[in-house]
Amino acid sequence: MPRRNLTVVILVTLLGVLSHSDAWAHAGLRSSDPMAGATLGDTPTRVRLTFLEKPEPSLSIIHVLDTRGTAYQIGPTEGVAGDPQSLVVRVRHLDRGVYIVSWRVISALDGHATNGSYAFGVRATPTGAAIAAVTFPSGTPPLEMLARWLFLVGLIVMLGGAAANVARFGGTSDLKLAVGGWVLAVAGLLFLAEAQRRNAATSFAHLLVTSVGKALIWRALALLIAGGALLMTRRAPQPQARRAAMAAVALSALAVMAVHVASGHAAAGRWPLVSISTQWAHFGAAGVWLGGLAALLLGTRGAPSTAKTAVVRRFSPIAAVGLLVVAATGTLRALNEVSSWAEFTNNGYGRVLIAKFALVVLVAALGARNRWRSVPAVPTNLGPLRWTAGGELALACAALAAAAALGTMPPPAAARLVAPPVFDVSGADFATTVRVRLTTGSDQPGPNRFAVQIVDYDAKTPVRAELVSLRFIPLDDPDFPPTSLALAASPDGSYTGSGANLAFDGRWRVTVLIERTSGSSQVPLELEVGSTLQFVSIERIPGQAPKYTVALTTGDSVRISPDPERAGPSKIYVTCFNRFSDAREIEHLMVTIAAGDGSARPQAVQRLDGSRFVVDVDLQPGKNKVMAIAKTSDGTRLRAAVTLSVPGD
Amino acid sequence: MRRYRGSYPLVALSMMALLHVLPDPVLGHERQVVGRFRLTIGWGEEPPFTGSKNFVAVAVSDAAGAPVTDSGGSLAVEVSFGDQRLVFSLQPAAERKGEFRAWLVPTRAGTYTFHITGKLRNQMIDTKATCSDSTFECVTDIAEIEFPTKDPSAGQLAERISREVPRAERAIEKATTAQNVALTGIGVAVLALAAAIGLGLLRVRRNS
Repeated sequence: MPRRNLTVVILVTLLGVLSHSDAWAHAGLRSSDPMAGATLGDTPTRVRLTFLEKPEPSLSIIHVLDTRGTAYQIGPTEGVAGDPQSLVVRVRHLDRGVYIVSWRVISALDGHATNGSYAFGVRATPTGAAIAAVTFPSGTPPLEMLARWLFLVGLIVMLGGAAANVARFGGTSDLKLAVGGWVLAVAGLLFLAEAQRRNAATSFAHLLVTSVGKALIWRALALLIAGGALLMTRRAPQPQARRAAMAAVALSALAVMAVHVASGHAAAGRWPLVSISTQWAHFGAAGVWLGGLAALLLGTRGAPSTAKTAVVRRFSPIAAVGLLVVAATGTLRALNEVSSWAEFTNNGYGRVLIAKFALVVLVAALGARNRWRSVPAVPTNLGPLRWTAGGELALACAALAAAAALGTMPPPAAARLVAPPVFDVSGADFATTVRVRLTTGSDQPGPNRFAVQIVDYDAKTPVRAELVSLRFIPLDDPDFPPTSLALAASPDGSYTGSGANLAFDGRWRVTVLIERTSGSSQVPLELEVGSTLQFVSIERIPGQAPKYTVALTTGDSVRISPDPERAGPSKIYVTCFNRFSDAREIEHLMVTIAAGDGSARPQAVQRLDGSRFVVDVDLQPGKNKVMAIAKTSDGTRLRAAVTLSVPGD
Repeated sequence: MRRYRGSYPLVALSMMALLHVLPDPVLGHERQVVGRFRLTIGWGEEPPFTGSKNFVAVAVSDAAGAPVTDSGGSLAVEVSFGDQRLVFSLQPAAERKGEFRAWLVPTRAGTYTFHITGKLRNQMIDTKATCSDSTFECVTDIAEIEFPTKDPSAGQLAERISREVPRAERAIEKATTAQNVALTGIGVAVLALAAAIGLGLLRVRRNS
């Protein structure tokens, strides 16, 4: 094989080890109600937490405590019907004060424990570090690491032994090797069960009736089938029957891997089927490659011979394919989960990943040495192959240990997902006296938490203000009066407050008013509050203008029809309907258009009749976001948004 | 019912008279009871905007609700914003009975406090009212209602200039320093060049 090809193999391997062979996410907190840092006007009746993964309600706990540690939750933590990723706990009446929500959840997918806490206030504003929602795993238990390592090594060895027998690159010890792998896998499963029982802090009887326990039972069943196949292999009289039984062992090992992957974090990905398939192929290829290498080493003991040379040459392309599949599937998983190089160096997970990367590179390098140095020497000398392959297997064991460690650690992807989308906008006043940074707890309409940091425009040192307040003006809804929110000084130098001032979606001007003893400064900022996804049906009939019909949660619908839908001067027709598809009488309509990533611009609207309007627009090539906000006579607000993909010509 | 029909005009006239006598119901003002008087305090024009002429409005009525037109003394209001304060005299308004006014142009957006002092029919008055959501409106930047262009106010321009002048001075200072350094560098370079040429010539002469 030319040197250029070796480079390609190494590069692919490098990409492959960017992935890891186990867990990618933990049940981190996605959102909460009340939200972290919120100041409520009255007592809530319950606390609801939504996680990134499905939690196991019967193994999870939510506590609501006051600052003295008195518990206010009533009854057990329960799941939410129709929302498997949420948990809820009822609370008794909360008087004025600050309360801590402390939670510990067990992921229904992999049994990992995650805990955290945050604060909210009832007619009081929580301050300090406690207000932020914190998500972190409950540590990395060594027992779970050991269990996962044994389980992975066992499955790989079992599959390798069986594959060697079926593909005839092993020897007489294939069955022993597969049995050894099975024993290791069973030991790993037992340790995993105990580790998950400890994580959940419950009894085996309770654990086994949960989804975590059921996943353990499925793994055990698949291992039992593999064990049965191994027994059949031992009792099979003919080599052909033995090979058929070993094929059953290989299939059983693959089935155990599939169950293990489907009960892990691959199932929590955005495309679970793709993730599970990729992860499964990753394990399977590693089993054939590395387990097969172990079988090869056992089968080529003793002096060199023609038969052994043939066996080694038969295995060599199989190993190459295994390495390529491991690299390719690993690359896919990496692309699915890792977004930046900084994530490799910023936390323990990334560092372990780098260690695994280095180990796999060494394994691949030794594999390449075997391919070009040891294999040609096999007819006369098996020593180099044994030494190099032995080194390969030792390094692979270490790489699998790193993979097992990764399986117990929260990946950067999970941490990234934990942070909900928020607003983070900055600006300065006209007089250039101060710079302001406004951050929010959410980018959705409704209750929100606002934090303002003020620094001197030139010196960039924090500015102390007497009073800081926010003034909210909805830019697309002139009927809605402006509202204000006074912020309180926090110990960290910022100014914070909670309120539902961003009452609905659309564009808002938020003016930060900073009052100091010597005067005041205003910093105008602009936000675009998002909305929940709307169902849009598109009707395209040749010769007619396309019709985008947006179904609203109120049952009404808004039809937006660009005529023509091409760049340049055009007309957009807007028609409103009620739930019975009859024309809906509209009192006032506002239409805005944002081309590309530009800001939304209000358009002149002309009334055609009670429910129909037309807007003269100048469509730009590319994406044009059209937003229609209609006010009915009974005060109902209908808001519809569609994105037009306008061709250049 | 029919026998009362003739009295309807009388009732209407009485209502009109009552409306004329009573102070106007004022929304967005703070109502206070000070001794035997009721004071309604706020801005005359609401919402108040920066740079717009406005007035502190104090409507005074007695316990029965009748407007107090003759204070029998003098009333003043100290308007404060941050650590700045200024006293204005409250003058009876001819347009509205029982109302006392002090004209001013608020130049900064934010929280204003009115401290009303003086004497009303031999009773000392000393009361404060601060704008808030529950009292009267705080001053808003005029830019909120400016269209089509939001021009900066005179105060903002003045503040901008006061910030820009030291920046310009610092920039000039830096430029001057840089110029001096450059000139020094050029001088040193010229000297070095001259020395090099001199040394070169000396070596040529020695070699020859």
